[in-house]
Amino acid sequence: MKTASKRPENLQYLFAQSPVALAFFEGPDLIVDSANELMLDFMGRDEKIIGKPLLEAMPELKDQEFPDLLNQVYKTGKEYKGFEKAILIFKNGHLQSGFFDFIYTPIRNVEDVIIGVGAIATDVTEKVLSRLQFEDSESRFKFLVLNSDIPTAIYTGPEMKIELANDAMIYDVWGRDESIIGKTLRKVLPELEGQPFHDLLNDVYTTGETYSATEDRVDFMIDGTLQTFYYNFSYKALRNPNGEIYGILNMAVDVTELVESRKILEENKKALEDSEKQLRKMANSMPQQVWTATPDGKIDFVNQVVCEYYGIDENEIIGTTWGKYIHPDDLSSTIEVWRNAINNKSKYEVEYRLPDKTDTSKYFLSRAVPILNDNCEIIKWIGTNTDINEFKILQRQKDNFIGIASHELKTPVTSLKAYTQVLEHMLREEGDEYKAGMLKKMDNQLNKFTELINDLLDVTKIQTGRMQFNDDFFDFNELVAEIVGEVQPIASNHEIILESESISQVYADRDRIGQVITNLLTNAIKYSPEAEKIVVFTKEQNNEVRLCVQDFGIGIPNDKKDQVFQQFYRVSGTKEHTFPGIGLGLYICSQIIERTHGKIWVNSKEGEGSTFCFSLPITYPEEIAQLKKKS
Amino acid sequence: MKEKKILIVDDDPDILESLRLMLSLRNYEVETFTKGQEVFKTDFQPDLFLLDVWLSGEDGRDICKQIKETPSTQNIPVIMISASQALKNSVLEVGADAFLPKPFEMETLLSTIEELI
Repeated sequence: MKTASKRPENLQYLFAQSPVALAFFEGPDLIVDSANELMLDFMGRDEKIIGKPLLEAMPELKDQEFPDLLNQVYKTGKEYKGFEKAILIFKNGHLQSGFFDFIYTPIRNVEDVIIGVGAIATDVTEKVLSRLQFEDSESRFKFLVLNSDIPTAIYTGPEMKIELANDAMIYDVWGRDESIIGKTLRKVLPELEGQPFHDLLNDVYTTGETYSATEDRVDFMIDGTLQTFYYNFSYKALRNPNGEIYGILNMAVDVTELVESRKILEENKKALEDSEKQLRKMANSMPQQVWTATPDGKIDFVNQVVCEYYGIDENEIIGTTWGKYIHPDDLSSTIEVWRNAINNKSKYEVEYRLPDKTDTSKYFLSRAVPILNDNCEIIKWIGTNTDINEFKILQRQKDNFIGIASHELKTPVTSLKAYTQVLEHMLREEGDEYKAGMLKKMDNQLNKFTELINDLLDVTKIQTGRMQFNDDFFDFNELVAEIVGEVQPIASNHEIILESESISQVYADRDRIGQVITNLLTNAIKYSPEAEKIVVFTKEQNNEVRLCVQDFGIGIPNDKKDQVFQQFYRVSGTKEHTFPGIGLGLYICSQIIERTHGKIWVNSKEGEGSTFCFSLPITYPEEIAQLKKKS
Repeated sequence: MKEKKILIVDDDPDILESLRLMLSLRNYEVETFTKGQEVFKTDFQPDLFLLDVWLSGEDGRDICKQIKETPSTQNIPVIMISASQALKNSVLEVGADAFLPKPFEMETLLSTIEELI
């Protein structure tokens, strides 16, 4: 306690310990009579100023209002209260500003005469500065809000008065106009009644906890109809410098389009999943092995039938290729078929054996279809494997049966033929030409019978892959002439005209090629009963030898041309049963030509006749030598 | 000219009979057997063998092989016959001189025989 006059000690103590700044200025010159430490600190001085006039102690106050105010109080005796008054004080070597609340009170002596002025002051500098800062930042903040593209609004008071809202919020979100400023949210957006927003705002206003929403649904009344939107938005409490909540900042981003497009996407996805489930169900209810694979053959779906066959889980199969499961002996032929299908982007059919979980092989017919995109590229294979094991066993039994049966048929025919020929010989020796002729006819019929047996045998051999070819070089024209010579005597009504060009030797099975030529000639005769000639011509071109047999008979309908080389094909229509034959001849021919790497085809016009041709590649002796070396 | 001798083995007696008739008419002396092993027991010395392949329990090719391995018979021609045309190669492999698929023309048989003896 610094004081110039003497006072009771207890008062002096109170003065010194007071939590507020206290000072007493005496007389008209405002001599600093006393000042507690807090006041000295405010004044930026020490106890040396005690006893000095105020303006001498603090010359920086000269042009400020405080000396006048003090004088006024001294003269009038009226107390003065200052509120947040700015003051400049020379402190720590430089002029500093501060804000004070203060009271100047006149001090009287016992005679009620004013002897000085008492001052009580509180430093409110920090409070004032922070308020000023807040006011400043608030105005800057308002500027930002109003110019922002993000819909933003500020509501104040528990009634949620719209204090501020930018155009994006007013026009784009709410679909209203500027007249709503200053009104409450409830009044402006009555459609929010029944939606959760008023409660949410109230919660934020009372708790101060920010609420953030992701893709919340909001229904706004736009142009008279209630429309649904989706927003990402936040409600954030706004506090004044005292930390009290006075409003809520609302920012919102319209995500309606995003949500709706995702909804559509999700619906589509669900529809896709549903249809996939449906397909899976269908695939699993099928008795066949059903699968799909990537363009390069990796399995990406199998039905339960496949899993059961191998006794393993779907996941163990997915990602592998059929090559892993196919019997090794069937692999190379399968790969060839598959490669062809890839090159032609076509479906394929192939038979192979699949060893099951017990390593028992069964025959399957595998069919697959490529799925193409708009650029005609394969994007998927869809396939089935059908168990044809029973069928194959039956087929093998049938083939074996035909093989054995035809062998057994030949034995009695051999005997019959021998007796017929012996008898014919004996009758001829006796000079009985008539009876000998009858036996010759019997012998011819036995030959036809033998041919039928041979056809059946050949088909069996083709189907079981056991047809043998003994390839060698031979004179093609010589063979043709030989066969024409053999067939001409049987063709009583037809003249066979042979037009041969000089051609190379051919490397093939002479007997088998002869069989084909015989077949084409006998067919030509058979199917042109009214005609008188058959034309056979041979030529060489483009490294091929070609033979054609032209008849002038019934011809083949255009749509049947490709079928004539198929097994069991018979001439269709009303004349069908009038022609003999079992429909194997041309099938055997086509198989023989195919296995000799040649081509066979027919040109025909119904009612005018047909021309059957085949061509064989000319192989040169050097190539054959090389081939033999290789093998 | 001395008659040429032909020994025929076939398990079908009717075929044997018809062949014997035909060949006799052409002045061949014929001996027939239904069993292959008889070939090595008989005193008949043929100028040509005519052997069927499937002999009800015996394989004519084994007989042919044995004929061709026996010094006293190895130079005698062998014609083999069968209803299975596919056997042609295997028959020639065991040393047969010719193969005829059944049924055959008598004229073909006769000309083949004449070529070999």
